[in-house]
Amino acid sequence: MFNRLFGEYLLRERIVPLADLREALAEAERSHIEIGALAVCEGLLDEGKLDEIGRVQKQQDARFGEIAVSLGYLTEEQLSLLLERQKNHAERLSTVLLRRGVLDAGRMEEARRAYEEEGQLSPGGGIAYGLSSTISLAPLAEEFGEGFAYERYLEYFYLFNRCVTRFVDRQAIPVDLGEEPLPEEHGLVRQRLYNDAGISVSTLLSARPPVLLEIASRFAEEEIPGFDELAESSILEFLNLVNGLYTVNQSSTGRDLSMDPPSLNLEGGESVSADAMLGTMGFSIASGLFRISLLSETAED
Amino acid sequence: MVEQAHPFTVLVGDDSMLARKQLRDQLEALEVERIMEAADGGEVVEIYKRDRPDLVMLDIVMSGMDGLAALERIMEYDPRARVVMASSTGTQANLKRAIDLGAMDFLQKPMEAKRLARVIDDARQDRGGSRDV
Repeated sequence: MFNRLFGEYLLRERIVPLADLREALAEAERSHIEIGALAVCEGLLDEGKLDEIGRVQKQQDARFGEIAVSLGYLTEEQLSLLLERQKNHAERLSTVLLRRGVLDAGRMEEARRAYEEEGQLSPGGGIAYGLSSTISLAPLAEEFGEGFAYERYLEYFYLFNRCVTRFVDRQAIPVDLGEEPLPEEHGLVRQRLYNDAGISVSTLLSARPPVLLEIASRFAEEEIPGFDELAESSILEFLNLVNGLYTVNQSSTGRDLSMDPPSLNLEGGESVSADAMLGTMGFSIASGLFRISLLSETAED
Repeated sequence: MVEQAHPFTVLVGDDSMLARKQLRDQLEALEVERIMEAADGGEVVEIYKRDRPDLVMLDIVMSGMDGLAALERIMEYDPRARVVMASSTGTQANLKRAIDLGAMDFLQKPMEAKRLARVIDDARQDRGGSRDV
């Protein structure tokens, strides 16, 4: 998990290009550690016992773990735990990036320090590191086209998260809602972003109406009892603000996006194809869950 | 201070009721004497021609006529109009277009109270004098 999160940070900060990162992550995941070495690292075996197991292993056709258990050096439970850790072991991403020459030691140290500082400074502490695990990106996302590449989606979700904690609820918790299509009873707030090349993406905020009402009340900084014109304009303005800030953010990197006015459909019933989903992220606030999604659109939509 | 013949008037053009309400609250706190509202670009142009407010604050993304189109119409009608864009979408392209069309300033939403106060202050001082165009 650390590798993936740190990798996403390096990507977001444009420290490492996507292609290099993917290769390094794949290499890290392919790395293998012997069960004996893992047991020594965990303090379960010393080197003397390790050597003894090795000697027995040369005489018998048995696995290292089985011998360790038969000699009474490891319990079955300890062995299961070590096997599980072995399965999930991956070399540290930083080690692989250094070995491949993608970053030098100085730059890596600088990036690691900045990453750790960001984690400490983020509201909610650990939540910031858990953020990435609540973002689901469709595999086709990176191929969608110039201006809406993988990094852009991640930037969108990070920005959306910052806006939720700043303008809606400081205590909002990012949650993993998976990639299931939206149930029909959900209200939808939609706004389209597009660029000169005719590529467009819809941003879709979806939740049951009481949750949308809570977002509207908190953004308007006043209690709105029911879904009136003020509530409607507040929820629309919230999405409009996030998307406006995103266009400014993208503009600073030379990508000019425009946006249509946002629209609201409280009745639900609008079908959203799972195929159109480019990425999605969930949040939990007092009245329930809501989701922000990026959907692909054709130019003529 | 010299008394002006008519109250200092600001026209707020934004299709969001919440945005208009919040800006109205801020303008009232800054003691703007008269505040008018319009919910789309067409209405903004219409009210401008009729009432000639001292300052127009314009959103960009609006249904119907957008803010940049409204700015263009207002400047065609009155090259000395004082128009400030107030939008969340302050991209470099929008900034350039707005300034090229004659906007005095661009306030990025969420708006900083200090910047808004300065804009109002400048417009008050500029009022009655001639604007460099």
